[in-house]
Amino acid sequence: MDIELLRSEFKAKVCDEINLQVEGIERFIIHTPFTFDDGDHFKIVLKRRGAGWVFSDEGHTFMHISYEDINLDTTTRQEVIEKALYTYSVKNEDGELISVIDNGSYGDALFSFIQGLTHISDVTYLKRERVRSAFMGEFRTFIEEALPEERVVFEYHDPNHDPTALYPVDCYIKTETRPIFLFAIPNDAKCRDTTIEMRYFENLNISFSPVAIFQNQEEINRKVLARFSDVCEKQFPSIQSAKERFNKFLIPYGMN
Amino acid sequence: MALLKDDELDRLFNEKKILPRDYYMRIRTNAKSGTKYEQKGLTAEGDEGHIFAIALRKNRLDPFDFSIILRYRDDGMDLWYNLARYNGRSHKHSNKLEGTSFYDFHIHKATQRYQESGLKIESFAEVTNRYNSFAGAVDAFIEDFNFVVEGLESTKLLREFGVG
Repeated sequence: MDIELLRSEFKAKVCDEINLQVEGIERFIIHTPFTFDDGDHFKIVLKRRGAGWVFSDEGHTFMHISYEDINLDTTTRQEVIEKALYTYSVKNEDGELISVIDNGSYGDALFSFIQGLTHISDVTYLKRERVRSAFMGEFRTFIEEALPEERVVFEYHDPNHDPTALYPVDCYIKTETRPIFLFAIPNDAKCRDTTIEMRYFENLNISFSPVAIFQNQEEINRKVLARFSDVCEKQFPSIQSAKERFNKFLIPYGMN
Repeated sequence: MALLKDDELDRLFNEKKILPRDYYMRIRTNAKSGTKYEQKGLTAEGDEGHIFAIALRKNRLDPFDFSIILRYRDDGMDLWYNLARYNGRSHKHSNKLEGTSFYDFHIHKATQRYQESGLKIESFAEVTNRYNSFAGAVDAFIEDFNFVVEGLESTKLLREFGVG
């Protein structure tokens, strides 16, 4: 293998991925292969500032992060952002991210700037909603592994009393005694809705056992949880707790 | 997240979405402190009962850097998803599955295939010639996603009310 040939081809192809396009007076768009997680490339502008040059995102990065409706003022996200700014020598000038180019070191400044933008945009992965979405998937997987398929109906609704599915049950479990209406509770809103549903079924004098598995019971508003506890005696504070105790809970129902 | 299939997505895109009569007052963008952009949001109910929102973003430093976003609320999980984004010409975009790239005004749209590949729901985008400004993008957005104002025939009116 000709190492020098490989080296020169490698450098040529990597350099091809980075381009500079004039867009304005002493202003250039820098095209790089680096992107956000939706395929949009980072916005990087090379522009004159005073006697020197800077790389700037012209405020685009924080605007892009806001597409996910994220609050950047939380302690955790602020810490992530501040650390990235410090580590990669990026300045935050009222929402515009800037990297000053010293002594013509365009390469060093560009790659530091890109690393800074990458770390800052990673705050979107701290979004609670991503965690909530994972919880519903975990809930379903847990039930599918814990119970035989013929005992379980996901997204159940009572065909006689609720034909239009206004009061859906996350998981209906057929037992040897009375059925279990099992609900997955990721947040306050779902907790409130489930309270309403359980009261509805109570008023119909339907025989069932209400059970809930929370994503994290500690995060539920106390008043909301108190009202919920009026109608639902059996609660697992987390999926982990359910994994440890669900089988034992099912024994009186003639299962396990 | 529950997978939104292409036929479901089409139904959501085409569902008639009702804007309140005073939408023109509620949709003017405001500067957000500590940033270089302006923003505004407005909720609209679809006539099939789904909840949508319009999110507007406009960069004060670059008139070609903007986004008009169609959001959809999954009631069951209390989550919002971005179903479409009308973007300006301020950055390049690459479609990971197709291997295509461009630097132009472009529209992101949610697709089933990107979700199934574990990618962000609105990762796919195409170049558009439907607009070349923020105001034009708002007009196109309103028309394309069937937004109507309660009691009015047409909603190609946002620019008349000072949006953009």
